[in-house]
Amino acid sequence: MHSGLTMITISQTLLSELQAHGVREFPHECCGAMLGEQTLNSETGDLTKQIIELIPIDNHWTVSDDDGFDKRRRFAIRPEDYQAVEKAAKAKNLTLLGFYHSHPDHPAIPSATDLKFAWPNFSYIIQSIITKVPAEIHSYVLDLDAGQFKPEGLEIYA
Amino acid sequence: MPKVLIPTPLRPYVDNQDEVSIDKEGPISDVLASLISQYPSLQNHLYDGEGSLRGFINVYVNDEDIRYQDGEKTIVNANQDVSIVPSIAGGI
Ligand SMILES: [Zn+2]
Repeated sequence: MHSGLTMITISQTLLSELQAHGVREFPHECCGAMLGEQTLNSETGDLTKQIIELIPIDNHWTVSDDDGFDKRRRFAIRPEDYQAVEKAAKAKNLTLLGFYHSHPDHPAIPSATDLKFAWPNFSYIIQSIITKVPAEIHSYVLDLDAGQFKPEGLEIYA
Repeated sequence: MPKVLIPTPLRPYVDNQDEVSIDKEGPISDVLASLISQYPSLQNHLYDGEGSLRGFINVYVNDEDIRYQDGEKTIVNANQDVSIVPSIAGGI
């Protein structure tokens, strides 16, 4: 829908929270929601999203869900948890910007499973955690026309 | 009129509204058809090429998943809310 460039910003404090969540759940995947504000530059068409709050969510993936993999390789968010974060965003007058999850002992590259479940207009932040230590982090958005993820700028500010 | 609650990723296709009132009661399939007739670009986000509701969409009528009611025949009355809830999942 949105055609300009997108960028997402996160404070060092929130980034540390996100990484601590990934370390805490290791070797399982962590997941959570990102609430914030969006600003559209009407001249350039570029969209900047500022993360203001993270909501950690329990990983409810069960092995029978799909393909035999467990929470070391998969995450799932229950519909009631999804509805709760939509409600929280509305109550705080913020936007649900998207979701983050970790890739334990794996690079921060979106997988086929990530793509299968991807929604347009959301940011998907992936935090790599290697041997319980936070490694690279990247953000992606779904490119509907191409049917794949495209990276978006991720700015960390003090 | 029933209201359909639109999840954030689909709001750009309904003029950025978070809910849409539908002038139609009856089976959820009719209510969604009415929604799509107002906002045709929703079609591909709700239904697959064969006309089935996409698997990664949960539809709730009165806070209960239609899979545990009568599926797409679940009746929506005037004062009921319909929620479209995306499945969020992924992995490595
Ligand atoms: Zn992933």
